Amino acid sequence: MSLSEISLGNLVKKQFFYKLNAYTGVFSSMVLIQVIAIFFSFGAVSSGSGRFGVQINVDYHSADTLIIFTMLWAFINAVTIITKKYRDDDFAFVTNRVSNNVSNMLFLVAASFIGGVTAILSTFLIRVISYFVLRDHSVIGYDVMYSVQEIFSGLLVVFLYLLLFCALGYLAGTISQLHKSFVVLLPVVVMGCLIMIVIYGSEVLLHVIEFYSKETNTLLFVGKTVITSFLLFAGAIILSNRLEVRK
Amino acid sequence: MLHTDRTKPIYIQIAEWIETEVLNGNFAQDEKVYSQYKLAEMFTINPATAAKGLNLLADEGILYNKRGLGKFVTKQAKAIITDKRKNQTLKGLIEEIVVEAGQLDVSEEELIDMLQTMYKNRKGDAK
Amino acid sequence: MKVVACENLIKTQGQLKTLNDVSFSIEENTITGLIGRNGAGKTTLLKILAGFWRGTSGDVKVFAESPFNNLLVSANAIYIDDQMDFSTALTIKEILDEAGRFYEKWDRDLAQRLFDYFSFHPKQIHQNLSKGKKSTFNMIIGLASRCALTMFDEPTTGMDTAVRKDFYRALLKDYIAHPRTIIISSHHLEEVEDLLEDVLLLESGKKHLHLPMDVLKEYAVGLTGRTEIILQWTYHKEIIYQKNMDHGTTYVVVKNDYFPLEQAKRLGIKISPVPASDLCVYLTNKTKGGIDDVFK
Repeated sequence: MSLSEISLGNLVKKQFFYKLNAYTGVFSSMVLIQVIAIFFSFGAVSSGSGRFGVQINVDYHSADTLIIFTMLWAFINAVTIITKKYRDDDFAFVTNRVSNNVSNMLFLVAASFIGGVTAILSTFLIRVISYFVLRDHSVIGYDVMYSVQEIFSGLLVVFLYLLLFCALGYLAGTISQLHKSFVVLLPVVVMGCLIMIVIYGSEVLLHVIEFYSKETNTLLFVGKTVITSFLLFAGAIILSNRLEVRK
Repeated sequence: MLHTDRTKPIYIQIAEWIETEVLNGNFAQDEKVYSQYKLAEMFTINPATAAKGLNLLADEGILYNKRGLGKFVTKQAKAIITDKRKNQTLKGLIEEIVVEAGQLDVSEEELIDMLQTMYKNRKGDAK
Repeated sequence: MKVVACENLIKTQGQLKTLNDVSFSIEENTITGLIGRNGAGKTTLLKILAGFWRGTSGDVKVFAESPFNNLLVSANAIYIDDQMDFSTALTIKEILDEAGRFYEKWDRDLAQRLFDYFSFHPKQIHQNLSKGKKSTFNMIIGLASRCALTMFDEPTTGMDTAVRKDFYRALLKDYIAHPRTIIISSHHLEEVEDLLEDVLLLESGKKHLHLPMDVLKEYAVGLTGRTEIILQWTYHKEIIYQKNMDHGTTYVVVKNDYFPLEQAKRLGIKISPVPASDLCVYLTNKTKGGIDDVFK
């Protein structure tokens, strides 16, 4: 009997390309969400730099809305691809839990990147629409041209934020798979945290957010987000490595 | 072909099928019979079952093995099969007839009479 | 070489032991029928062999390795059932292509020919296929993957008779051309029995028997005769099944070991072989009389 040997690296590669091919819904939902976000951003004209601390210098006509919507998409997207349906799809073919997780991670990195690029491009779109449709000439009043470096650092920041949210969603999704009760408990905890911030102004949680958002050194910011994302993913891998599939 | 009696093990049905082919002259002396795979495919059965049927015939001296080539019909195959069928199959059938006749209160004479009539009819058909 | 070996395998799900101390092994290049009633533990066993589920205790080896979360097992074992789900973003033709990238021994040509034979349309979506068509499609994946251990869990669900026959024949032909270890679980033993080399019968999570098909066919005999004679004859025998018929006649199924059949015949006891599928039902009945006992 000759057995087929397959290396983990080779399998992850196959699964990654399979996912790019099969998870098209992820990208169509991204386009939808960004289009909605563009409309929203005309509804709420805000100013100043990101309340949520998005340190990209595209702070007019609330590019924030767009970024926040995309972050939300990143989170939901990560939760989605870890659901039973998607996991079982993987287990129809050759896989183990590590390759399943690693290929999901790679897919989320790719999705975050694409999400980041389209988000940045959409902010330009918002400006163009503002200028031509809304006759809002202020949008070219200052900082008309961005340097290439600025655009790329903006892209990097958005990409890393999206990745962070993907990792958060991925861990949340994994935890909710471990036991039925987590499906209820997890949103309760998340809502609880939000309430703590909004109503009680919880110092601790604000510090956590500021840990990332107030970081001005690009290199440190990259380090913080990448390491956090990695830890979140690693947690998900460890938690799901004993998970039974195709229940 | 097969499955006239679903309760009989298939390897025996296979063996009987080959026996009948030999009796009918479809496999001559020293001619190669079908391989287990060929039989498996013909009857949609497991090759191991077909092999068991072939081995049964080899054990009984109806087939002989040529290493690497397959199974071939022995010289005395026809005689063995005829003898076997007489002593086992035919005897068994007759036993069943006798038991059935007993249950139906058919007397010995009556039974013999029935047999003779059957012979006569068949001869009539042949003419 | 043993492809599958289980020793004292136990699987607890909730309060229930779905597999209870199961030990058996399966040799290379055989077709084994996994037979049992609903809830006997067939699917649980197969999912453990496929590496989807963990055994609670005991030892499981597939290709001499523990199957759970094992890449070698995943690459060389495939589990096909009617719950298989594929991405809705892909057409069934694309799914076949993807499957081909994952399985080293995949036979693209065979997959395509079966695909055409069963008149699938390349642009169809798996989710929208009918139950029988889904089973047929899944079966194509199971055959074309040529995995060293191929497991079909109730593969013919929803298939019509013609397709079922085609499937069994396709399975056999491909098995002859490319021998591998196949396990088929089925409710319909009479349909698959010709294909099988061995039968593994499960009952309430326990292994009831594991025998070559031919032995199973001769495992028991049915005796029909006058009740008092039958009872006298089977006095110290284990009765597998008993049915009292009208006019003081009884039909019993007993194990076929050293039974003086010739003598029985002369006493007017009618002896009949017991079809394997009936035998499996009798063996796994909770009571000796089956459903009739409920209406006593």
